[in-house]
Amino acid sequence: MAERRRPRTGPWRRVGRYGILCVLAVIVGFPVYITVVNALLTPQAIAGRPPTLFPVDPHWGSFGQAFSDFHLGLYLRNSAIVTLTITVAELVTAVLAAYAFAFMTFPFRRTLFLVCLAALMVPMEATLIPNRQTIGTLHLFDTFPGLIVPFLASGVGVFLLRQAFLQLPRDLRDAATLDGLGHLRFLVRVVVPLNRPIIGAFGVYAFLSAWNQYLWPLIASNSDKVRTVQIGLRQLNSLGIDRTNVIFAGTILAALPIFVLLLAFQRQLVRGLTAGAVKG
Amino acid sequence: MTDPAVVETSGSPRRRRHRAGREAVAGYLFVLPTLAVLALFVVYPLARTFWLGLFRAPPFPTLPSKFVGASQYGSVLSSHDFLASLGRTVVFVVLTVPAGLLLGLALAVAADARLKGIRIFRTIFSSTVATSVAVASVIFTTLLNPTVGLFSYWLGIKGGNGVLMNNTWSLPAVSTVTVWQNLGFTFILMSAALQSIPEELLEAARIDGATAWGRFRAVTLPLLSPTIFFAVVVGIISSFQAFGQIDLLTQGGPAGHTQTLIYFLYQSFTVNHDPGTASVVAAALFVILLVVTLVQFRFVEKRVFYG
Amino acid sequence: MAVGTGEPEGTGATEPASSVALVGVSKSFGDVTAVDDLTLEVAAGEFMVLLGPSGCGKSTALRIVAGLEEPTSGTVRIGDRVVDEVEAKDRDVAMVFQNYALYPHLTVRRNIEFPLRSRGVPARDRSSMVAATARSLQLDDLLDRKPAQLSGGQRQRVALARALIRRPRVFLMDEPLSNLDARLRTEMRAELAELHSRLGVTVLYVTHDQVEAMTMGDRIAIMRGGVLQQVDTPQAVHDRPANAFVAAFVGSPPMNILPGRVGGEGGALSVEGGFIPLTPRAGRLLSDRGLREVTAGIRPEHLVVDQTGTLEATVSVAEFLGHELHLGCRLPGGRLVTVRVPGTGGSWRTGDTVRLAVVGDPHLFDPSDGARIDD
Ligand SMILES: Nc1ncnc2c1ncn2[C@@H]1O[C@H](COP(=O)(O)OP(=O)(O)O)[C@@H](O)[C@H]1O
Ligand SMILES: [Mg+2]
Repeated sequence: MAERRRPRTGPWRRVGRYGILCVLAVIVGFPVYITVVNALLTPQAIAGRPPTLFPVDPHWGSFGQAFSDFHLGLYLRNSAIVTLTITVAELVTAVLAAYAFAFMTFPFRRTLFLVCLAALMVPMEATLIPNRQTIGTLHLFDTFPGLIVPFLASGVGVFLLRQAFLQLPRDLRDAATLDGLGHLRFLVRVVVPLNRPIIGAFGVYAFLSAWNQYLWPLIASNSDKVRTVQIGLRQLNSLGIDRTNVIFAGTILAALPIFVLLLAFQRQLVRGLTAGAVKG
Repeated sequence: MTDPAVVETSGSPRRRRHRAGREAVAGYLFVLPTLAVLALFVVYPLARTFWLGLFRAPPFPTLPSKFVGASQYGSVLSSHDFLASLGRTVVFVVLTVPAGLLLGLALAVAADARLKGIRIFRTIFSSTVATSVAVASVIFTTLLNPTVGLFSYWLGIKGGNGVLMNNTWSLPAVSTVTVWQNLGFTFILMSAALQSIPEELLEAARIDGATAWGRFRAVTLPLLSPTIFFAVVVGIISSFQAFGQIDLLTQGGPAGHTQTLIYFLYQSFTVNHDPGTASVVAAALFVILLVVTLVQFRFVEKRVFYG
Repeated sequence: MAVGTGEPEGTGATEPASSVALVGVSKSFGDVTAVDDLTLEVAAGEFMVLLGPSGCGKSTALRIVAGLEEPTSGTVRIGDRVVDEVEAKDRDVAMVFQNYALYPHLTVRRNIEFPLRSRGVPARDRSSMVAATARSLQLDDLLDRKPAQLSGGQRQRVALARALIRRPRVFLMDEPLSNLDARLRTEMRAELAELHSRLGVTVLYVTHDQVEAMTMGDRIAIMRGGVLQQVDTPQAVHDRPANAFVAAFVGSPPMNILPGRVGGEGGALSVEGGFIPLTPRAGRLLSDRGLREVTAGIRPEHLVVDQTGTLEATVSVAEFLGHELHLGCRLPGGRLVTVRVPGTGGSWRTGDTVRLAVVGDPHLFDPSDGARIDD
């Protein structure tokens, strides 16, 4: 986030500001905080009244149980497979198409680009039923390809990247042409390196969307062998009140990879999430 | 040096066309993967959704479905189930969008200060982007559990049904979880917009003697308005699409009190094995969201030309 | 100037400079004709400047030579080879762009060696060629910087180095100096001219700045609206402009253009504020053509303030440049003419009435098409 200089305020105002910030932080952060606390309590302590708000006597076993009793490892692995494949594929297809729409001339270029734009406006819910049928026809129900294939391309990515590519000066393309670079080498050696920030931002956005998918994996799979962690959480949710510590531990473990990733790619995330707002 | 090419005068059109043709082939190869996927999984199924709405599901899954034409659109769209779901969806939008926007804006304004440790607060405020809908819903299912849930205890609920299974409170409860889960995104959006307001403008207002609230009203708010509009549109769309939290928190219950359009679609398709009805609902959902999106596009266009 | 004594620019085999020829080249974009039937020959080793106002098709012509743009009709030759079907990269030309077109993500070193890399020159040869080229352009110390860390002049040098290192048969330059400030532009002008004479390469140089054209070009080709107006040495273009447009475009301050009427005996032109006497030769040129109306062009240096002058005017502005004075004088009809007064002399004030004398014959142009009237 581009940090902008704000004038320093007086000491009393600053104390007041800290007070407000702390209250807000408690409100926003409490559900996550209590999740961590409860994961470390026994189910009896969680149900005990008055409630325990601090992990006085932490029990770490719940995390192990989340892996052993509830197939968290498997779900996480499945999510990783599906999400990484979708992200890489979306990046590749979007970069290629955005490049073609920005730099190459071919008949019906405008029309085809409009198709991509229009596709961007179609919500996934509107295509859910036929897509489920298509996956069935192709014998891809309850397989990784069935979870992945519908998301190999994205109108958003094409649109966003084309906008960025068009900013590239024409002279640069001309210089590369004189240097003997064909389209593919110009794309790989010049366009992609120069647009790494926006490509990174779109990558994080694509990753997050793919990881958080719920409705499609729910409809397109029915066995643990391919189920992603979001659907796994559905199983976890029905675990019953005598295993609440495992439920809390499981949600923490399910959210942790994303949390770590977002801390690492904060800048890209902000750009990815706000790209639509800035570009309109 | 004698070059055979000297004999040729101006470039032959045939070979020029050949060069352009090669570029066209390369261009098509570049866009092919994207267009193939979009054609198969967006364009074709969108058309097919409208088509499937013309067929009534058979009484037994093994029998063929029956072509009933547009009549199914009429019957589904005027049915009590559909209209009630639509009404609940609108209520859900009203409960989630303004509240989420105001809270996100408040967080962004509060965190827009040059203070020690502000990064920690920013991280906490944006932290819910890391909790997926499913994660948030599982946490709240347990916290709102009438027997063991901490929030139920604080709300004075002992046993019984709890808020999630309460006819009046289930939809507000689901809305609250949704607002919380979206806070991180709204906060990030609003923060970025706040950061992009030039300091000179606020300085100028300060010199003019405007109070903090006056500066906010006169400078900050107008400059944020495009982002606010964007957040409203995105919020409306995502509330229409909200599925995971309903599936995990209430399954549409109690007695259908949290059955929104998307959940109605889902149940028609999976539980009732009625792709015809589900397709009509999907088509309606598509049209509604298209209108919302087009309104946004129109606005953005205006902003570009007149703003 | 280090004519012919400079060190070698690189270790690659030196290609002989090539001539360039455009024959009947036209280019249209939709209904805009950017270049209209352009025929132009550039000799091997020549510094040819393509001069004209913005939008007259200079860049388009240059890009056609480079192979970046396909002409609608016409032929381009480089050396004795027709290159219409030759890809840009195989034409053996290098181009320097107005905005430098450096790769922002690569260091200066990588930018300079980029053309070699993409042509598969082995690494060992590359580094010695980069070193030699960088040295000749005083870029040695900047090799590990990124373009963003360079000044405009340094970027321009890198762009030049990138063009030079390929040892191309032809250099194409599209307004390479127009993004530099005035001082740096003068410096780079001299440097480019020196480079050209040292290397003896063929240069086709595009600019809208007539000073650049006059100071650098062996010959100048002037374009207007896609049409070539005149090709000649700077001296000839200045002294014998082919038409009123060229006359007004070349020279600083610009030539004064006055519509005139041929007097009774053909011995003088009556113009706003008086008359211009003509020599018998000029009078004969006009009477031979039977012209009554004519456009007269008078360079500012050919007007002198003189009590016996034949034109009456009022001083409107006086601009003192240190070594000379430019006097803006308004004729009775309201037309402004510029008088160039050498030295520091004169003490005119705004509003003074002066008489102006014309030295020699004015340039004469046919008012119907602007063409020069000459024998
Ligand atoms: N790619 C193009 N598409 C459409 N018109 C163009 C294109 N390139 C140049 N033109 C037009 O051709 C004319 C000549 O342009 P150009 O060669 O760039 O002029 P100059 O370099 O002399 O300023 C201008 O009117 C310009 O608008
Ligand atoms: Mg130009």
